[in-house]
Amino acid sequence: MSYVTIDQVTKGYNHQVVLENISLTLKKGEFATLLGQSGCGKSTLLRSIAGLEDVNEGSIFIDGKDITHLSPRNREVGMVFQSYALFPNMTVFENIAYGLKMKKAKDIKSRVTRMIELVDLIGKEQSYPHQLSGGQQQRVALSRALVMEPKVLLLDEPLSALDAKIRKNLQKELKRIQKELDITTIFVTHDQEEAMTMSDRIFVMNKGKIVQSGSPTEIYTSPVNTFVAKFIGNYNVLSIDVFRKLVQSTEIDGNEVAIRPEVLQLVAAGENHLDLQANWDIKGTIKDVSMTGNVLRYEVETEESAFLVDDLHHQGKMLEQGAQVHILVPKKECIMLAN
Amino acid sequence: MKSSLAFHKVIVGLLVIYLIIPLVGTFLFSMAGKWDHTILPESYTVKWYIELFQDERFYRALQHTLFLIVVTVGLSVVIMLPTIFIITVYFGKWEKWLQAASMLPYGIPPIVGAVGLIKVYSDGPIQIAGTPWILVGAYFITILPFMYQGIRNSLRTVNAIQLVDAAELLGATKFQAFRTVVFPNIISGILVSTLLSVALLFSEFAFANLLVGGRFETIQIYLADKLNKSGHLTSAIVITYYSIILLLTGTVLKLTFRKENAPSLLKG
Amino acid sequence: MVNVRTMKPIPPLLANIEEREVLRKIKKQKLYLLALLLPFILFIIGFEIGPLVAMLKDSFYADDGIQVTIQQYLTIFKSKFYLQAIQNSLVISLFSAVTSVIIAVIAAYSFTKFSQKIQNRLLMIANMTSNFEGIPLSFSYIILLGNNGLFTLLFSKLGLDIFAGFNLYSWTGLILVYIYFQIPLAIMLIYPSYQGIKKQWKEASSLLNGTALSFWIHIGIPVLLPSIAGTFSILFANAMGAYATAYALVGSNYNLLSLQIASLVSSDVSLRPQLGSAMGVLLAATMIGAMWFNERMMRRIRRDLR
Repeated sequence: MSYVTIDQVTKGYNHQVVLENISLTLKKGEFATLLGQSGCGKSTLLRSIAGLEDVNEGSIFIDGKDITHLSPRNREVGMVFQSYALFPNMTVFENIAYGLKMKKAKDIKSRVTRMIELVDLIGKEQSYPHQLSGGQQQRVALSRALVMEPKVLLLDEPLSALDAKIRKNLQKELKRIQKELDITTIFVTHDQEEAMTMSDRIFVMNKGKIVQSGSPTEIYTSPVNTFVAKFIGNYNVLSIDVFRKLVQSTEIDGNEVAIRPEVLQLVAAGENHLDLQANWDIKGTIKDVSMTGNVLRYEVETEESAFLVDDLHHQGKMLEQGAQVHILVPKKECIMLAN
Repeated sequence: MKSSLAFHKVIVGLLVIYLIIPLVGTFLFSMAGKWDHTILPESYTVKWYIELFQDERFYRALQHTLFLIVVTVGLSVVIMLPTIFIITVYFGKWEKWLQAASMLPYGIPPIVGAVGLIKVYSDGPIQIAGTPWILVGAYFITILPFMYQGIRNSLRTVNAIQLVDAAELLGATKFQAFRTVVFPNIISGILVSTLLSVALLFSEFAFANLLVGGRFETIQIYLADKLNKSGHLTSAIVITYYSIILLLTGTVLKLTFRKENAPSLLKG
Repeated sequence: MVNVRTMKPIPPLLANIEEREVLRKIKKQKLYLLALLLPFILFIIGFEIGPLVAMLKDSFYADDGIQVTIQQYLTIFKSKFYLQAIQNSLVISLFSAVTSVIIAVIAAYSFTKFSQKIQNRLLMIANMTSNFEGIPLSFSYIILLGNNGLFTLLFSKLGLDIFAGFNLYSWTGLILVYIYFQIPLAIMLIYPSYQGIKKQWKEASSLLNGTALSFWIHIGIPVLLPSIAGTFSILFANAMGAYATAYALVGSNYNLLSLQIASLVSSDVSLRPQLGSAMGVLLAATMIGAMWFNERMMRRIRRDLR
């Protein structure tokens, strides 16, 4: 049963299309991510769901109710902003209680207290936002949205202002809270790694359109086009002509071939244990090696094109720059792209 | 490098002396009993101040000036706050017009403004030339650039648009959002431009003289009138007047300085 | 591509009507917001745009206020007296602006040689004294350097006649007072751009074999120049429009543009509002020109110092 439905939403400002015919549905409790580069329309879509932007065409439904023309305050959605938008004149407690006060809700105190426990901010109730760290501010913003028990939680790059370590922790925490409350969540990010770790479903957006949707594994292992292949991983993308020349075979079709760098295997020239049944063999020279801790990244030059090859960093097993190598390309890992 | 620092010390020293002498001179003159051929006064007295503070005309002029300031600055806050808020939040495309209209007075000296004001209000349907009301209008425009910049910058600093978005999503109406989250966060920013405006209007002479003159005597008109009478008494007025200005600008400086040093309210 | 439209719910039949209702509400709300802008618009029309337009229009009428003509402008440009007023204003403004800018450039540079704390103090003095202007300032100069001024008497008693040929109520006196109120303003405007000259630039320049002199010639002065030019235009405009100081010091004894305009529109004897309007238009045009120039310079500074 679909819980959130976006039906053919279109939006543009002065002749420029920002959202083009966007449709998607979410199940209750699902954690969905809108992933794309800045300017792809992901934040605009999120703000349209929140009612902070008007749409030109199309409708938005939550829990069966058409909310397309409702004002933000009547939509029953919660949102966490990129810069949190905490109210600087109010304490943590007052920030979290704000929405309940506006609704003239009962037992504000106990509900806020429960929330503060949930996000682990006990002892900070009377602090002002500027006295908190970035991570703590983020928790306040989250609980301020959650205490209203919204039908949908919207997160607009809520982790992008934090440094790497805190970010990893908060990702886990966010996921935990989301599961605990079983709340339908739409998350916006430009970070594909973050999208992979957090989401049940990812919608990859480009130039105002959804170009692919699916589970993280689906998106990663079978990108539908060059854009997704390049954006989601460091796919090697080759035109079919080049690829055919390199592997000297015509048993493949499509338009382009995408191959992930980590499925490729390098073998030094001269070794003979090559499994040519399951792999294609391309000869090349190592042009550059770089090391990112656990991964060795090789740039290998072949006759027609350069390849990126990722290898786990094993002790003493590093190939030198200039070395002649075979690149083994597993046949079943080659993804044919239609466009 | 030592000799060069001495050079800069001399420059700065001369400058400070140059800037301070007229003030010190006036101050000494206002406290002087007998003083004609010595470097410092021969005797000191506060009788000029006593005389000043017993002058009813001085109080009336002060009252008039304060009346104009309170009415004008009050009106300006009440009108400009919603205007700037509404235009930045809901009619973003008009912002450049608002800015142009608000900054124009910067380029129009009072002497020019007065020409048109006299023309418009000395005959025709609204004849307010010669009354304090024409000054309220003129002063509203005089302080416009300061009020505009102060309010707009405060709104930007607190990221007002996003605060309103957040409040609305939490169930507040636009008016509630303005009252509970925008207004409390920009008061201090507005306070600075308000005080600046007060200081500006306190020292305004051109409009007051050209539009109203003696019919509604402000402190500056009073001062100009006393200019050629008792020098000592006038010195006392100048010093009293300047102390008020110092108090105002001092507060402004302190507030701005404190704000710059305060931790930024919105990180990230 | 995954088809995401399979589970679309059936929109309620009444959606269209509801939608219209909501849109009407939004429109109503916008109207209500617009109503709140009304007082501002009234003030702008009544006291800013209206008077300017009235002045512009009035300047194209003859003295009788009925006949449309450019006579008023011709009168100004044919009259030796009014041309003299314009010339005097221009010369005083240029002279005081140039002098103040030079002093400010040197003084602000000297400021930067002191500790941050002293720099803040000095800036505060500049800020405070910049508020000492107009009538009170003129008065101060009168009691110090006027006919019976303290310094005048003191120096004549001491037998020093530095001030013997000096007359405060004249061109030299006006210049002196104008410079006094321009200097603090100039310092406050120029000082920030010294902050823009980064220490690393000097270090980079010296590592590239530059001398202190070549640094200032090739980097320092070019960077300061827009700010100096902009400050100059503000000071110039400030002096052109100054009225209170001149009024208090020389009354109508000296022929200045601002004093002439004032007497044409508000005195009892020589009331010629249309002629005053024409001179007002000329003054406004000069001011707006100067402000426009400053705005352009500021844009350059912002670009350079980003």
